[in-house]
Amino acid sequence: MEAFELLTAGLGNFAQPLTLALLIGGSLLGIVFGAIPGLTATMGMAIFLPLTFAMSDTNGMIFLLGIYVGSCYSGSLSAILVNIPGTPSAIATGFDGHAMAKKGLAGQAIGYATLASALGGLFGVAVLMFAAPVLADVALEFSAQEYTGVALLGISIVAYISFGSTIKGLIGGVVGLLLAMVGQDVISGYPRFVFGSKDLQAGLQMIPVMVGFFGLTEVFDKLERESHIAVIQTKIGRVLPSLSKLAKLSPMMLVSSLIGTFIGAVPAAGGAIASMAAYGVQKRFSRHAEKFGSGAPEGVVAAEAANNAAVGGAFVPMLSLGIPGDPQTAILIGALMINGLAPGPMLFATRPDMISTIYLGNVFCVAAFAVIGLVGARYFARLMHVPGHYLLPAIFIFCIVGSYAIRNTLFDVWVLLGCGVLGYLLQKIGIMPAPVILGFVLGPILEDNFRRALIMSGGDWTTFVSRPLSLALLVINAFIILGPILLKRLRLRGLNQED
Amino acid sequence: MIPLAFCLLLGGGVILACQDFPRAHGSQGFGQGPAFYPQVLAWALIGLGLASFLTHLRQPAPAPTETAPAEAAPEEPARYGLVAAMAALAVADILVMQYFGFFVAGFLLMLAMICLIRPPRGLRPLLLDLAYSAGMVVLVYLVFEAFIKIQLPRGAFLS
Repeated sequence: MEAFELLTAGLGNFAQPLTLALLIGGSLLGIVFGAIPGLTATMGMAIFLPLTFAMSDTNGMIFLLGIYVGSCYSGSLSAILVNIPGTPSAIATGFDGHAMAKKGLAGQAIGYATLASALGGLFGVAVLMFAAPVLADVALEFSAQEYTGVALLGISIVAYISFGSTIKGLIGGVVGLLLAMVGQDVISGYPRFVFGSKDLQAGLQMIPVMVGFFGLTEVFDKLERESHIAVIQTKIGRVLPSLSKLAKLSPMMLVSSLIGTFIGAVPAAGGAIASMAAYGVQKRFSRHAEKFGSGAPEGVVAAEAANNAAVGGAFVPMLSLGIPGDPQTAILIGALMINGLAPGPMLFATRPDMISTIYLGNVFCVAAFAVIGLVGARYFARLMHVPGHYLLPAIFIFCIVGSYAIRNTLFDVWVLLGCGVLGYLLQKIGIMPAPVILGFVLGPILEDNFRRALIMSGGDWTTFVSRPLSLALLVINAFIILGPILLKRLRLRGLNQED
Repeated sequence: MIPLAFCLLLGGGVILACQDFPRAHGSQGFGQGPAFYPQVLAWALIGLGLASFLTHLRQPAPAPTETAPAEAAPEEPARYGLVAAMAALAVADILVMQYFGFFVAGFLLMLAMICLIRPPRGLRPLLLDLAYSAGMVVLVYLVFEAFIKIQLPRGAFLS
């Protein structure tokens, strides 16, 4: 399919008033979830995923995209105003953004953050449009062996990069794979781990599991360590920065966007790493490195351009390989699967309108948050005053109703509660929810391809290393898991020799 | 130690549960039996648990310092009781919902949670909490039942 055709196939969707309303509504919700410390994009997307049942698949995708893109931007608002990043990707924004706010330049900091976020977001989408079809063409050559390697790659990268130890990340991934196994065996149809329950025969539904691990776990965590947020009462003055200053900062925005897109495309790397890396690079090469951290607009711009560009990057592995780049894209993959669509290279051939909707949806969502952000910055600042004792029960109720809504059965609410408690307890022993969910999403892909590869080869395990591409993927997997350990040992040996 | 115990319990449980699964025999049966893949995962989990334990054992103990540690900022105590109470409330909510439906259960859950997190001091905050709980139930009704046409649970007694 031609690139232009791929870009325009879904353009008609955006002429519908309902679609535009969902786009703006999603962006607004995303801004709310990103701006309030303690609420996250993942939580927002998981809670509102059931609402997409009532929408067409493209409208549902646009709505979720709005939440994703909007919250990625608005994490900067709380980072600037209260020095508590609304999302992890806004940590670096707070370094200079909050310092600017303390100097009475909160409005300008928000203005820089909004414009840099918009540019970064658009840059990420441009790279996505170019890179995803190319990678998808390569992925069309994949067989069961390669897909096994790709699924393992998704889990091992998430385990490596996720907070805490790699081994605990891998344990989380395996727990997710085990949860995905409940229900009928994909090949023989034998019911596994159903313990006589008819409800379990269909397997655990994606929404209660996702909402449980991402929504309820966070609610429990927040309840446990409720912190009283002291909001700095700062006046938001002029928001739009001068054109000359913007022109001066634009090369920096482009470089940060490039860094952000590249890091975002690495599965599980995400906006937090992207913004920190871009901030670090800009500081390292700046002529005024000493100003970073004390209220330099350059710091805000570097961090925000990178973390929003990472969104476009995260879509590259999702669309081309069908593996989620981060927890948010895992939810989007879930949304596609619920609608009977198989994410991955075939989507380019079977549903070009969906691919186009994702491309254009990203662009329009960026435009929406830029306008909403610039116009409503001073109003969104008030969101930080919402008291937790009203917010958390409301989220709880939405989690319960959202899980019930999939099949109109209270069994799914029990699953939600079980997953929420399990996620909270696992978090207590250092196993974070993200690898569990990634394992759950990738479980069917991994099992199906792993077992098919073995069946096709008559039980010959060398099938995974006899194909060059499959071997390369396994080597990359091994390097990701074992590389850091080996490097650490080499470094320790070097230090011992020096002593 | 806890991650190891968790992995041993879960992995061991999966292996035990797989004992009753039908077996596939012969070279062509490899990978076909429903027990094969869960067992691979269970052994992987047990291996990871052991690796986690060994890594924990090999971690060097923090070196003793001669000077007194810097005074840390006072941390809020973890509120495990509140978390447990919330989980218990959610269980009660599901049970109440089975008999009295969403509107009663949802309202009671909202109110109980709000009062548990921050007990109202006086009549005015209590009225505010009541109004907020009722408003939230109405909002959920509007979003799910009126907008996306999903019938919320009515309950055995009220349907």
